[in-house]
Amino acid sequence: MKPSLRILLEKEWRELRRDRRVLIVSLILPVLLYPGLMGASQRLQSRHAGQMQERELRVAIADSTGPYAGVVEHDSTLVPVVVAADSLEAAVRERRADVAFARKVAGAGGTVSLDSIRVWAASAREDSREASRRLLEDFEELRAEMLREDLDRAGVPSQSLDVVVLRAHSIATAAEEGGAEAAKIAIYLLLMILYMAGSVLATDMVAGEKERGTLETLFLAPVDRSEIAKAKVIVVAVGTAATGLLCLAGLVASYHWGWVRADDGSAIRLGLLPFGGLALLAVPAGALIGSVLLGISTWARSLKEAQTSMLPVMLVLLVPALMSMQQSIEMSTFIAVIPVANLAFLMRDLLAGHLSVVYLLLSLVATTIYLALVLRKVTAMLGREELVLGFDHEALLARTPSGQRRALHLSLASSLLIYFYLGQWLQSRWEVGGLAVSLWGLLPLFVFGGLMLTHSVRDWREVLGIRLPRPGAGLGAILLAWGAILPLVVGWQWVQDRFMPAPNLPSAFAESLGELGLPLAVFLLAFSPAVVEELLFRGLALGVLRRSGLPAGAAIFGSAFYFALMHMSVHRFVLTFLLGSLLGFAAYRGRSILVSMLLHFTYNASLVLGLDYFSRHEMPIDPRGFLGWTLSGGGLVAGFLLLRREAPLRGAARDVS
Amino acid sequence: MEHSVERGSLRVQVDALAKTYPGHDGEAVHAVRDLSFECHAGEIFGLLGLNGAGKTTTLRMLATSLTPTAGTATVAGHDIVRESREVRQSIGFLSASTGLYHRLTAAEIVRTFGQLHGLEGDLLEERVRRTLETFGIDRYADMRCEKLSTGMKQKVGIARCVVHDPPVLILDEPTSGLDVLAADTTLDFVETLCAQGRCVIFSTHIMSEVERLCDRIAILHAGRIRAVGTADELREEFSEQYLEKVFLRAVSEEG
Repeated sequence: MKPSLRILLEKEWRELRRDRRVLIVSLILPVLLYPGLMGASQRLQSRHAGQMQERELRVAIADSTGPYAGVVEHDSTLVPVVVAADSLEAAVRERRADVAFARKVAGAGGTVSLDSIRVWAASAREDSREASRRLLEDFEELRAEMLREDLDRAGVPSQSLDVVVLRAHSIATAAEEGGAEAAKIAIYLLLMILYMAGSVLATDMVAGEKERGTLETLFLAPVDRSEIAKAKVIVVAVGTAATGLLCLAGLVASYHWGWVRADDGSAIRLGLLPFGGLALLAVPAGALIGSVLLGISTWARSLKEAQTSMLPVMLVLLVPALMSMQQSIEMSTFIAVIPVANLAFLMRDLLAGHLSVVYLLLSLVATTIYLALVLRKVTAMLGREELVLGFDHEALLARTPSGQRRALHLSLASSLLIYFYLGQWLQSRWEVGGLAVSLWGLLPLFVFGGLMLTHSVRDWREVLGIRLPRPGAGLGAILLAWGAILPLVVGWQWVQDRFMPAPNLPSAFAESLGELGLPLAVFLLAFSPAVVEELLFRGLALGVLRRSGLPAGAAIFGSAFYFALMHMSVHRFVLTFLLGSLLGFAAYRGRSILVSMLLHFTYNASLVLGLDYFSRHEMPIDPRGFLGWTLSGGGLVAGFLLLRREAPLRGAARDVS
Repeated sequence: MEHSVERGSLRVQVDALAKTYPGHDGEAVHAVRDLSFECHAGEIFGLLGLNGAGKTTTLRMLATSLTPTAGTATVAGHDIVRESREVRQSIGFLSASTGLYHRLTAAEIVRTFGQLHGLEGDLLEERVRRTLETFGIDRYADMRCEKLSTGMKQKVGIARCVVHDPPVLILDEPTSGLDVLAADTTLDFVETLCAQGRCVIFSTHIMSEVERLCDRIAILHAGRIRAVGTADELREEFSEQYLEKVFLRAVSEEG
């Protein structure tokens, strides 16, 4: 090691270990706080579950002397509440009861009369779900009892029902089971910890030094800038990786001492080998994440700018973190070359005890190449005087094209985070109502916030592209939508089958349609996203990116990236990115956001109506015939041609500074 | 003011130096244009100008942290572009921000920069001790810089940039933001360093500092030198009694 590199490393290390933020993020959070919080939340959950088990729940019935009222009376955890026969459902809805049931007789006119029990429960409410579970269990027992009595009366021994006895034996070792259990949270937690540590270290070491004026002092010493870059990269990479190791140590300790347990309450045992392997994989993951964040910190002109610019990295890291939590998605060659995702999948497989050496080597080679590229870029950036000295004191969100662009990225990244958590919460509370509120309440709010941040409120019509399109553009949008359905859905299924097997989503979607009802489904799943998502992504995002001077293609793909990210689904990312690009193209060529709204509505509405038709007629969803492809191809070509005839808006990228 | 040391050998030579930045609207921004001057050992050369006149850009080019877009300059005999490392070995650079690492102690900062300039072993320790003593900060040597007063920080900053005994000192508004006492102490040090035979290039917009310290002055405005000479020569050239008047006329005249 060169003496100057050693001196720089000593200096960086001395500074870092005296930084309280580093101590908190690298030591206290991973070793104490997270395991402690996880343990505490698990205890709270199990206590809550225990309380729920003991709690008496109310069952609405119409007649306390009816044939099945005894079911409730025999269960000491259920309390009958008598209501009018026509207000059983209302009783549950108005929370006067947790669950309700009624008997109705089917098979009238036949020789055999079967009883049918209808149970009403509000599945969004935990108490109602629990009451429903208990009631169904009680009915199951009653049914078995009735069957035994019938068999006895007929002189058939009831044991003859048990024709086959099933006994399952798990061949997984305790360590493998523990590993699979640990993988549910360990990888997600590790990636988030790596991000947090990397961001604190990287912002302080370059953006922070720039702000304090110490980077220039360092650059005036007679050492090569590459040496300075190397020292910073080494410290950030090692620091981030070390934090990852501490996080793992904290997790293992919390498993070992039983602070954190499996869902069924059993202890999680983690083998030494998987833990060692995990620790080894945390090193390249930490080095890569830390180096990328260091690059952002070098590019940023202030500490604040660095912090806000790093937010999208966290969003991107969420994707592999969530993907690796799904056991059904298998490691593949494709995943082995995706940065960070490859290491996350290796960690998961390692914990489950089936690591592939080929994928391990491929992933390590790919990560090494990415790391080398990032390091090269960071070193080059540290040689650029305007980045190091930051003599351009333009305010972070100033009225300049680049300031507007930064403001837009900041608003989109934070909007996605808020939308994800707040939207989830709203939907868990009110289901359909929550979805409507998050679409019509939250998204327009974000559009307004974005306009404010990018200083575009005055020109909102111009920025959002709200203008009447020509009829040809509208027709082009409709044809494009119809043409795109088949290739996108088939392509989506192909990607999913090949790289990340998951449940059949069209079938699941068709089921949920039945629950909503067609008119509401069209309003919520076609009309609403067509209006509000277009305002945010093709209106605000595309409009501001174009005005900030980005070429049309880059602006379209940029808005499509955020559009895909907002759907927060690994399976749908590729599909939504392609759809977002198509919508961006339509808005750009059609010179109006109304064109992309029409395309979006036509696409979603066609899917909703099509799935509803197929599911109602119990037809298999497999329209891959020659005719389908020909019509799709024709629709796409005609749509493209019609939109190509439209001249894109001149001056959309004008300088607004 | 008059220094006891005779004007020595040439230390800094600047010839038609220029720096242009790309502006947001695509047009070039000329921070410095066609700048030429020279400075000798034992001389304090003052760059006087308003904010944005090009003083900091000039000093950063001489210190090699910025690359000139035209012209040449040598510092201690080394070309600032081709021999940047040797130039950095030969200079001490200080600005108003001091550029100190707040989580390091005064001694650690001075020692680290001594090491980065190639000092080691007993020589390093001897230089660190002597420098800290010279600037009266040996009592605070083990205190973290974040706990030092602004004046003490400036002393540590000066100690940091002279620990390797450079022949050329570049000081960019070193008294900006300091109180009267701290500023006076800083100026005392600058005089002492000059008296030891160092070449000092000093930028400021405070007239009294120029009057007190500088052997020669260059008035910079909009990236160009408007006038250069001793204080007396400038008064005579502009037929003004006060240097402030000279400065105001120099920066107001169309160039």
